[in-house]
Amino acid sequence: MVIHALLLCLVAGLVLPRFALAQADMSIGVLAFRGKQDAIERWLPTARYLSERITDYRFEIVPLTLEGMLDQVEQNRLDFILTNTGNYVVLENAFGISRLATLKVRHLGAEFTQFGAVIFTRQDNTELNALADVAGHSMLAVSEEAFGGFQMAWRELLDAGIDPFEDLRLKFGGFPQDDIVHAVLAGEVDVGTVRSGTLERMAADGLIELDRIKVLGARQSDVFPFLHSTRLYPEWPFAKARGTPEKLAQRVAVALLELEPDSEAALRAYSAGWTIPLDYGPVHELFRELEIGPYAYLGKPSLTSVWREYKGWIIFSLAMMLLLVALLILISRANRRISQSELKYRAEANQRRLAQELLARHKEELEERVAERTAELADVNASLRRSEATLRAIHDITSNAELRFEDKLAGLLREGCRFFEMETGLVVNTGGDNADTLARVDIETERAPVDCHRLVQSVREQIGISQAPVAVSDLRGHSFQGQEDLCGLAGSVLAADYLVDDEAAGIILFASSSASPREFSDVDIDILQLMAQWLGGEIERTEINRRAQAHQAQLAHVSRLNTMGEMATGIAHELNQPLTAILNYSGGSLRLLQKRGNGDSELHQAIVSIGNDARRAADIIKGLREFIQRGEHRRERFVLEDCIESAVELLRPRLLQHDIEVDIRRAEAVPEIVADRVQIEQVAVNLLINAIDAVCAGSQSPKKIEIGITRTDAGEVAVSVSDSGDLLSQSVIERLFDPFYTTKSDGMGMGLSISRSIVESHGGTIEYLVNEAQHPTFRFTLPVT
Amino acid sequence: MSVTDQLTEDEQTVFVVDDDLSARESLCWLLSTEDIASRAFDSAESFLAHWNPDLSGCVTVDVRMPGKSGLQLQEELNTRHNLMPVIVLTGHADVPVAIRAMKLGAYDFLEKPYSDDELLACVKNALALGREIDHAEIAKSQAARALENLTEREREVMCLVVEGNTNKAVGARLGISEKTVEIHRARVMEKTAARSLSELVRICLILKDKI
Repeated sequence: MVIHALLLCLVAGLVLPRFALAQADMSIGVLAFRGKQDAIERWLPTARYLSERITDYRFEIVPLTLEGMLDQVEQNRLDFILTNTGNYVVLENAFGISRLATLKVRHLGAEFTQFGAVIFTRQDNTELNALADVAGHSMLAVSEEAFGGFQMAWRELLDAGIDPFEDLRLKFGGFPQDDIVHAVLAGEVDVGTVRSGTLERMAADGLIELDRIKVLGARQSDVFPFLHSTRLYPEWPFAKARGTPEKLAQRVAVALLELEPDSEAALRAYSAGWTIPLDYGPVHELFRELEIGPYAYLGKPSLTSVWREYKGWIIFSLAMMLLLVALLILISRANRRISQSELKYRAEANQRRLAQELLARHKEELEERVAERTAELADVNASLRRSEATLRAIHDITSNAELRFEDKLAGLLREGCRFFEMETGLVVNTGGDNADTLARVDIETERAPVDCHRLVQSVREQIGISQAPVAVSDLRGHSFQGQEDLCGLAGSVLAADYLVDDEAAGIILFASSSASPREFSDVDIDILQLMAQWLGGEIERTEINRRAQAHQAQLAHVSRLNTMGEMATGIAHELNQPLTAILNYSGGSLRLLQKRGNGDSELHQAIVSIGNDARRAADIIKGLREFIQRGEHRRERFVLEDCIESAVELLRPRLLQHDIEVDIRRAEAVPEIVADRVQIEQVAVNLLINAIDAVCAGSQSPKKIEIGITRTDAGEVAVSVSDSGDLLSQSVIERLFDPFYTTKSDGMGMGLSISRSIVESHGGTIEYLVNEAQHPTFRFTLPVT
Repeated sequence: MSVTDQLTEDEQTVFVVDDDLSARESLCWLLSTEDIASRAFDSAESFLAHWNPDLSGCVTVDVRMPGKSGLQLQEELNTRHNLMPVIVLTGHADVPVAIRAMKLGAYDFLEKPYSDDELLACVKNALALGREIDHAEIAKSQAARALENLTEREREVMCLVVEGNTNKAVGARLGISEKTVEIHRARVMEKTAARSLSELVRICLILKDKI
């Protein structure tokens, strides 16, 4: 025992000071293509970020020229390398460095992981219209070693049958590339080539006009908006040297992938962070074709024919697209059916009941007063009878479910005009900055209609001051507080404001060009206020309906996008397997051919074409997926329980129809989460629909669904949905989350697959299990931040 | 202590785990064109059934498979203390999956379809790393065997010597003569085949957990 203790002390004494206390230094070699100072300014924040994330190492920047980079990598002096795409492939081949991530370059407000080069001349140069025309002309590029500044263009020129060193008067001007653009526009050279995006940036800075430029051999791309004449190649990689420890490289890769696009480290590097390393195979191909860099030894290959055999793949992809569209239509129909929500009807009935109660109450009050005054005054009696008739009319109009809101409004105003003996009635929404007339009714008279614009403004201010309806039977000699004489505008006016969500939202106004034949009474004002109250309630109800519908529409939209994205992912996965096999076989065949020294260049070329076409098919699939998945996630902070309840509410009609009981249990202290709320609601809806179908198909009674919201030991939030349906069989469990797999006669088999994608894209997990009560359960977890 | 000649590339195998028959077979064939031995498995479960700690080489694994996924396979291999580098292949690369694979210790992450240059370079580097790990393991077990043969007294002497004590000081601590210390020390060097004090220190460091 003594010995053990001794030795542990000894080991601790030996190991600790050397390995734990001191930080080890890590050198990042950086290609300084614009001088040392620029390289340090650009990458120092990235080194600091890495030092902060990986605290037991200190990362430092070593700015290097192309030659310097080669020396340092050869002598094993660097741990990490940040260099341009062309240089990377040279170093990868010669010294076994390997890439950890690819830079997302930020240019003119967008992010790109690829770039190309543009070959161009002056717009007014009529001799040059295609790449093949440039033979015999002069051309300016950056330098022979410049990847974007020359080598990309070199490859395209070779493909067009032009050897730039023999068929052109080729000159190199070095950086900056702007000088090349100016030289072409000034007519000093015929043709220039620069990195893609340069022209657009100069145009945006007002240095040049794009319409004076003619692009030669222009290519189109859905994902890359800048002018370019060449194929696209991946952006700068972040690579590790051969001797750098694997564990450290992994930590660096994770740190780079998690770099926030708006952090200083990203912004100073003119980037939006880093992504998964792209395939640098195309760069290998370029070098191989140009016989430079690692392929300087190759013999001259012939590049002539395009093998058309793989047209089949494209047609297959198109057929799949059509299938997608057809399925999409099916989904949208299904969604429309769902959105015939019972919610809407219940809310409407409720509102109507409230309005009716209100009307009934007022009717009672009025009848009381009628009874009192009938005894006293016969004329008042007559007026009350009239008002009772009007109330009935108003009640009939407002409670008629078949009328539209606009028709009800017009009917109400017409009834008001008749009752108050006015010529014009209108409803004006004053909620915004401008008064907005919702409805207007004019009783036909021989007089000119009343100009209501200024009247509305004055009356509105008056109501705002007095907080009471305005009722003036003769405007002559009457003046509102602080207002000019209004008798030029109208003879009499009666107006009240209405409230929406307890805020003054507009006014209902009746006016006549002449003075009213009678004084306005309390009954008139009561009826006016009754109309205003109904109006406010009705607008509020419409607004609630509109919001509910917008929410459902959004959910349906997200559901469609998710379905499309999931199908594209499924198809991409299925197609990528045979494409991978094709590329494995074509790549292996080329290796065997080379190894056995068979000089059959025709066969060689055909196999190269097989590989190229398979890659093209893969690019199409990838493009399709990127196109569909371009929708962004909107992250917000919210209470998960609210989101689950809103999903239950959406499915309430179905739950009632099948007499299913839903029980939501929430543990204490479940924190709010940050996620895309609509997407999470979609997951909850999917799981609930499955649970409803399961309890309906099952034999258990009573039918019951239990939802539990808890916090896991790992600090995540977990939602479980269990039902009283039958347990799933082993064969079903195995394929549960596969796209297109379904056990329902009318199902598409996308629900669980989509749910899994959504949960995983939030960094969570989803699984099927059997809970303590032996009920089938789906459970998903989400991280809190 | 040199072990480099005990392992050759020939004994290493690439274990290809992929549910798709054509992807699996074509990859094995591609590897064979570079004379790399490989063995295919159609699921994570069948590979785990075959796995044992003495396997040497590297593993390529597809992310999406019925049954256990590639990432779950990585987790299971980690709990079994697998030392072979694992290359993760996927038909649909997205950042969260890549981060999870990396955090689980993946050697590399390639998107299907990959270029053959890239895959072969990656596999070769992974095999080289696997060899280094194997060598370190062999060195560890050899050192352990050497220490097992020491007597209790020899062990005491070794610990104090490694700590930096002179023979005289060791003798004083243990209450024996300097001459006896010298004899013990010589036997320790002989049994552990250490050529110098620094080599002895290294053996002790390798086995710091086991002593």
